[in-house]
Amino acid sequence: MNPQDAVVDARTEHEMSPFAMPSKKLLMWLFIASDIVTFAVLFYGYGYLRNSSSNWPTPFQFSPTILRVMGLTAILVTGGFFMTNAVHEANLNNRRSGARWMGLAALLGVLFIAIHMQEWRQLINEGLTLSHSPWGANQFGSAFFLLTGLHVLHVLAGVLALGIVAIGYRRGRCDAMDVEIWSLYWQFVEVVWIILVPMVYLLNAKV
Amino acid sequence: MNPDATQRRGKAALSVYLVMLVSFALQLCVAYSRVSVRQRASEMFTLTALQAVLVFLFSMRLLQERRVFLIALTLSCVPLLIVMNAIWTDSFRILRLAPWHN
Repeated sequence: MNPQDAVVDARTEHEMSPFAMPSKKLLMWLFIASDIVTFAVLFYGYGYLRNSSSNWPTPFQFSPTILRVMGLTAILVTGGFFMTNAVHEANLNNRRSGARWMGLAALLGVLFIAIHMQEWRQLINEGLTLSHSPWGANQFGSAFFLLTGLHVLHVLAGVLALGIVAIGYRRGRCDAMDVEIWSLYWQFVEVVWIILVPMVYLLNAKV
Repeated sequence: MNPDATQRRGKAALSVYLVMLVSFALQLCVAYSRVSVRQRASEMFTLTALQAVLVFLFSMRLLQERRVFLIALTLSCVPLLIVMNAIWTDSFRILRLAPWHN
């Protein structure tokens, strides 16, 4: 190796981490930035369809749909609060407590998915499919299932990740940074739901 | 981390959580208010933007990262989201054969 290469190698080895954060945390932020764009495209597409349709339906009754959605919102926001507590405990190196908060957040995620699937089943029973809407504007079904489906997939991935990291953190295989990274993901999933609720449910509520 | 800072951070997290729940209740009230769809949508999305900013800055701790990271993230996402708004005129044109026609 010539001396010039050695200098380059040394610089690479001792290069400061970008934005003074660990690379795996930066990677999660980059994933979140790309996911922001993915969801933005879907939200704008949904808005385009809604605006350009003369018979866009407003099928959601206050009870049970809107009440159920408010319950789902409370579940997800509470899960986010639990993850904030998990990060807090992990930073204090309280492994048991940190893992417990993470586990509780994952359980709330499971509850969210179960209630959301019940909501889907009810809509499917009423005749809503990807290609047909009983209330008019057939594209409503595909737009609704695409947006809510992608969000539920994110929740499912989060539940699995939180479960694995909670067990790993309790057993000492994961560190506080892993808890913080998956907290970022979980909070982002919460933000997507925050935008989804007024756009897909509240603006389509039967007033 | 000293105990005071720990307690402060815990209180901040609880405050954000409570503000979120209250703003959702407000959003529900706005959804069933007797105003035009446009006004309802703008009020609801104002509350949504407030909620999203709260989560990003406090729950995701973006405020505690380096300022240059916050700027880089904003510059890489926000202009794109603003530019995407160009589609709205076309969506109205399809329905009413005129952009922003009331």
